[in-house]
Amino acid sequence: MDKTIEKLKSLKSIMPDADFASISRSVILSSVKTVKTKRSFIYDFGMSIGVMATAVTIAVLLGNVRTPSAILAVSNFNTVENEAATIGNDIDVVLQEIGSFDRSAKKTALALNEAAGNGPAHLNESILSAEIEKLDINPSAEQDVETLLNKAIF
Amino acid sequence: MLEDERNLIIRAIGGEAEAFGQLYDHYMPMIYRFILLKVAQREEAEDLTHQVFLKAWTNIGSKYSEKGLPLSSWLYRIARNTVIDHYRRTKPTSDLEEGEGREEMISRPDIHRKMDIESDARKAIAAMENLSDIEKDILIMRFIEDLPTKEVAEAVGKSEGAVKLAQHRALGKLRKIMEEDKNG
Repeated sequence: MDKTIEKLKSLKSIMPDADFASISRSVILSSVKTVKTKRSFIYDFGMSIGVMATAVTIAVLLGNVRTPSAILAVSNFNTVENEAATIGNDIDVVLQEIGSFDRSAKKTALALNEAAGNGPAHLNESILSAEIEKLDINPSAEQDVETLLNKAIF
Repeated sequence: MLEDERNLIIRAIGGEAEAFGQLYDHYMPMIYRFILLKVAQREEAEDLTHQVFLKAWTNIGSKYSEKGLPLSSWLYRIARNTVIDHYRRTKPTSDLEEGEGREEMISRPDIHRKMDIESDARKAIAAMENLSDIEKDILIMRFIEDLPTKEVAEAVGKSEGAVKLAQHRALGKLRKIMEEDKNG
């Protein structure tokens, strides 16, 4: 073998101190364990938050968040039937209310149109003139009434 | 390569400390030698070796599995970068790839005594100081640690052809320096 290479190979005799090797080994392995533990805690915590957020989002999207008692009630089929009937009645009531609102809205619209076109009937000039003409005012009777009132007072 | 290394790596990636411990026992001496031959001080070499394996254990589950390198190549890459960072911190103006700023370190009288090695090895170390960092890295991996050219190429980020060329050039330089020392 080449002498130069032989001399290089002789450097393989250099060895680390045994105490250094032992201490360094234990320090490395124990210190990284701590790092890994912290990392897994952060990872697990993040995962938990993620799962919880997903569950809440799904519940809100479905709009079907139930209380625990309601969930228990679902297990009883009769309760479900009753619940369905109640919901049906509620829907009927709401439909009737909608019909009523519709009718009153139409009446209101009609009255507004009439007012906008002719104005209120008691302020219409032609009607007022006709009413004045219909009045039958007797001046002598009016005089008698006034005399009687004066007597009663004084 | 360590026997059953694949299985040990998979277990270490899964966070099993005992598996990484076995990999540490196998690879630590060679990484230590590699670093010591570059920094030439036992204490520094120990600190940097510790850093290399700490980084390796911390990142084996993420960075190593992404790269798909042989473990030895990956560890040598970490070691090279750790040494470069070390020099950047301690000698910010030196050009590491060209081997500048080493004279002071080589001439220090305590270095060889601290390394506690034989005469031939000392001569080899002294001769290697005349090589560039990449040439020195290649010679250490190829002839001291007996790594195949492919693994060395992956460790230094060069092609196999470039590694063979650099190895040939570095050996030539080393022979010449040793001959000159012998004659002189």
